[in-house]
Amino acid sequence: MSEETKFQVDEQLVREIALLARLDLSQEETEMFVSQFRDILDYVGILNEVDTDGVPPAYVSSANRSVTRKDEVEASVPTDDFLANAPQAKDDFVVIPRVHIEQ
Amino acid sequence: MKYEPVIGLEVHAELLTRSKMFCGCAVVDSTTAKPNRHICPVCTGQPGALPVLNKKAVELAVRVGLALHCEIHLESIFARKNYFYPDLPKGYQISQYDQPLATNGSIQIETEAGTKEIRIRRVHLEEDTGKLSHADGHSFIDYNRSGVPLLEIVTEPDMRSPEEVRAYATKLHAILRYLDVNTGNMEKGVIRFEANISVREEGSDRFNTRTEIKNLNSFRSLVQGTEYEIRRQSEIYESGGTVEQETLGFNEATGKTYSQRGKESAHDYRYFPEPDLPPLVLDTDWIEAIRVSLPELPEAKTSRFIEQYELRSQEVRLLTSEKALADYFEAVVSKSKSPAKTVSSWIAGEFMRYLNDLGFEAANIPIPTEDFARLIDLVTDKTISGNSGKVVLGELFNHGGKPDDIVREKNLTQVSDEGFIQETITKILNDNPREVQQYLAGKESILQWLMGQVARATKGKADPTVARELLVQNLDKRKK
Amino acid sequence: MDLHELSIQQAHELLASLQISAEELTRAYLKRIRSLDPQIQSYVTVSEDLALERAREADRRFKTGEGLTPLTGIPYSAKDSISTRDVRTTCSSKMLETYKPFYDSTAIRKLKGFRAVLLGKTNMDEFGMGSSTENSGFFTTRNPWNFDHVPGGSSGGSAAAVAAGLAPFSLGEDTGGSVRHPASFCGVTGLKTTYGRVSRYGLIPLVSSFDTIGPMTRSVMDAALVLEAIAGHDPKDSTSRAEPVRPYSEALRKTENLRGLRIGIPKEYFVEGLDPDVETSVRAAIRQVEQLGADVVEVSLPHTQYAIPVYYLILFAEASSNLAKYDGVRFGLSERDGESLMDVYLKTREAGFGAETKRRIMLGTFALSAGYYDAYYLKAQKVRTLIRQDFEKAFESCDALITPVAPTTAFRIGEKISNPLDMYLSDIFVVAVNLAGIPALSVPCGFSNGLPIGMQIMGPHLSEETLLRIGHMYQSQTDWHTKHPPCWNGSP
Ligand SMILES: [Mg+2]
Ligand SMILES: [Zn+2]
Repeated sequence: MSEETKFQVDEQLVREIALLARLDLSQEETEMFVSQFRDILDYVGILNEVDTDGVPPAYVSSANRSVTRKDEVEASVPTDDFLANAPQAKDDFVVIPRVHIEQ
Repeated sequence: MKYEPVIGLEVHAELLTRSKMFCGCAVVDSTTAKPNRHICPVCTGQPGALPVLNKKAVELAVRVGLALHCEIHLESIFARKNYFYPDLPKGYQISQYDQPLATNGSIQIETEAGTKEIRIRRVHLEEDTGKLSHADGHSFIDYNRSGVPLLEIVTEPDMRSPEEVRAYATKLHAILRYLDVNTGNMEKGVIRFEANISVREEGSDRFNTRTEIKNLNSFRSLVQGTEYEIRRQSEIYESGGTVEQETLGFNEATGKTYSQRGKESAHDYRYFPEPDLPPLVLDTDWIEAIRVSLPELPEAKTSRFIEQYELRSQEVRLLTSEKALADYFEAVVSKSKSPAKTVSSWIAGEFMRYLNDLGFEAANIPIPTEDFARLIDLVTDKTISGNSGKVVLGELFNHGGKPDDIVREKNLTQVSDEGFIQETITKILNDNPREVQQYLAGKESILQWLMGQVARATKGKADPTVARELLVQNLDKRKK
Repeated sequence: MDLHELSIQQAHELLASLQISAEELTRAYLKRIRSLDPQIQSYVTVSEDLALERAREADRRFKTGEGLTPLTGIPYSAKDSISTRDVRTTCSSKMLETYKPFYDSTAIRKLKGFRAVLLGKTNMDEFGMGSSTENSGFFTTRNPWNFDHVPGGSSGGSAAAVAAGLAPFSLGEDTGGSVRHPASFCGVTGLKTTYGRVSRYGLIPLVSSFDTIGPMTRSVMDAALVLEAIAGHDPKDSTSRAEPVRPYSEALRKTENLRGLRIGIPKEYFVEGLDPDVETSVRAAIRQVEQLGADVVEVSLPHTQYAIPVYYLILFAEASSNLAKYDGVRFGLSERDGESLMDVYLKTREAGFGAETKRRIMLGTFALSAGYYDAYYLKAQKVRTLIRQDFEKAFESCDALITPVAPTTAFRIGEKISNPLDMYLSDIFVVAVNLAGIPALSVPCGFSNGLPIGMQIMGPHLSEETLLRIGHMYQSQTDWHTKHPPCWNGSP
């Protein structure tokens, strides 16, 4: 990438990204990602050949603008239909291991 | 060393829509509804479901933006705020980031030091999360609240004391009620506060490391948490330590803040524009239509009351603190022959005491305005005495009824008949020779005591002015 | 003629005249799937009972003659990223191996309304991440023309099923060539629709900005019939287009030649790296189109070489966000043997996602994270603007552009799987279309060593009608699309 954005891809960075993404990488996966990150980031680096000064980002694909709905209540889905896919449920709640918050 | 706090507030307020922000599920009281009843593919984050924006939520947001003197942006875009938490079904919250709906507003707050302006940095739309509850080793998730429209209102770090924080919060609460965009039921969690706090040497203008206190869900916790955190940070600096930037929770039981490590909040939300929602482009005519439909807000109402009813600003503050109370006051004034000042002091006195003691909201005052107006007029035109008026007010609050009937039943009509009052006075003066002597010896204050005796003997029905005249005359006679 | 050889139109005529029943037709396909699919492995799920139920329902309609549509009783399959109520929808991921949606995607709902008969769900690269179906969490689909080769991807199962006569048509999904690429590898017709022309509601997203549902069929006429059924505005999709749906099949019947159409040939698409046989076939096809009356001119899409990096950066970013909901909390795989919530997250995502999926989540999380956003995601979105402008400029002077779909024919299974970058490059001719949101049609136009070659016809937004007319006229003059793989007649 351009000078100010030359990034050092190392195992530390890969581990931080993995935690953000909630991925549990083995040591060899981590090493593999370091090299693949380098290749791929190298490759996408050719974008810096393109002068984009004053070019607006494309962001939205849709030609639509201000798509809204009326504030009307529609029928909801039966609780059981929703919970049928839940790994664990009790008394109509979805159940997970306790969320830990230090006090 | 004296320390000065630097405080900014983030407020999340649910918007009063019928359906959720991005789907047609009903918005319900999530503290009482059965769990996971008001859900669909969209608000439970089913794969493939897509959001569609509720126009009413935008309208209510614009209302608030205008009321806070913000710049409303004709084009704003939604963004994804990415983080993992089980109450967040999609793994991201649809919010607004670098192009919010409204920016650069302000709120006037009242402090002992006078009025102060708190700058509003931004007002934006986002979706609420589901609700977690915890028991033994598990957490339980209810998605009824997931996707309820939220307004996030962020101030600049302009507050310098817990008092200012309270003043800001109460004022904002009042404005949201005035605009009818939020129920104002704090105990239902429809308004939630987050405080950003740092402290610095008084007089310095640098900003030190700040901490963020989350889930402050009542004015009380807000002020307590702020006070506690100011003390905590000041003590750290006192002892030469350094405050670390972190997110804190607040424990209402202990009144203390605690570190919320482990939550991703300290990290990186990876905002990017929400591809499922086209930009929100507003029409200036629509915004103007909303502007003209805005109700009179606390500031304006206060100055009008001072102006129109010739009241002092302290008494007006009470009347305009809640729209419902202000409306009640004006209705009574319009139906009463008595001066507005009289109505105002009636409300400020006994009336408020009953209201609070009996736990009535200003929104549901049990006394019809015409009845309260009639009661005040009965006192003003001396049909009954002030004391009897209070008795009638109590009756109206406790058992209802019509003022005139109560006056008749309790036979409280004030008597100005001199003959009757003269008899009473003669009897009292004869029964209390010692006090009479003291008065004649020059102890003026005895007159008040004697008036009290007259009031008691006549059950408050004697016209005080008439009674006083006669009493003085009688006493003068006895001088000779 | 065996039932599986009928085009949609032919089948409709026999059904409407009660010469065959929808149940017979459906049974014929189910039988073929049972005997042939174990080798090809195009289906992840076959919903036999539901299919027969729907077929009988269609037959009742034919008896009364009420509410008949061109698709009544016509069997079909759908890519397994398209949500189907009560039929598991896996995206070929272990993460969703047992997931049964409680709602139908809009496209499926519309086909139900047309009384078409869903046979089952087809294999794909996990969550659409790949160009070969080798990244399926379950198994690799074979190319019906040569079982040692890949069918392309990510809608490889759909393409293989249509090519092998295991479904008269299939719903595919195209994010960066996922309909056109396998269509060309398997020798079938595939339409990538204009972004927003077919509702995305219920389509499990890979890249919300690029995803489009489109028909995969044996002929352009069949594609037109399917498109008429699934296209149109959907209030549940804020990005769906409100323009009325054109009577595509009608337009095709009326078309006699291509006079008055101007076709551009982007020079950047005919460069070295392009297989000579592919180039020869595509150039020959262009001459055919010229003979049908179209004017052919050379045009330039100067930013073409940047399409791949732009496409993948945006894909990584959006995919990393779209795949965050697979956390083991509400649905799908959930590894609960750890004690903390963090364990559930980590173990579930470890066990549920394949290597390519993890790689892309990692790269996307990186590209969006503080400090890198401007250099990668924002930069990519700016270059995307330039690529769009290339097309806008080209379409000022042309009604359509013709290029190859892929630089080569179907590669061997295992040939590219070890080198992700190499795999990404096989999408070089297809991804720009998704960056611009325009439609593109892939039609068979030749063979090389017994493997099909595809031609890509691109047009401006909502130009499906023009693209279909060009493809239809081309197919009226050629027989590439009528050629069938060896397994075609290996009927039970
Ligand atoms: Mg917020
Ligand atoms: Zn909902």
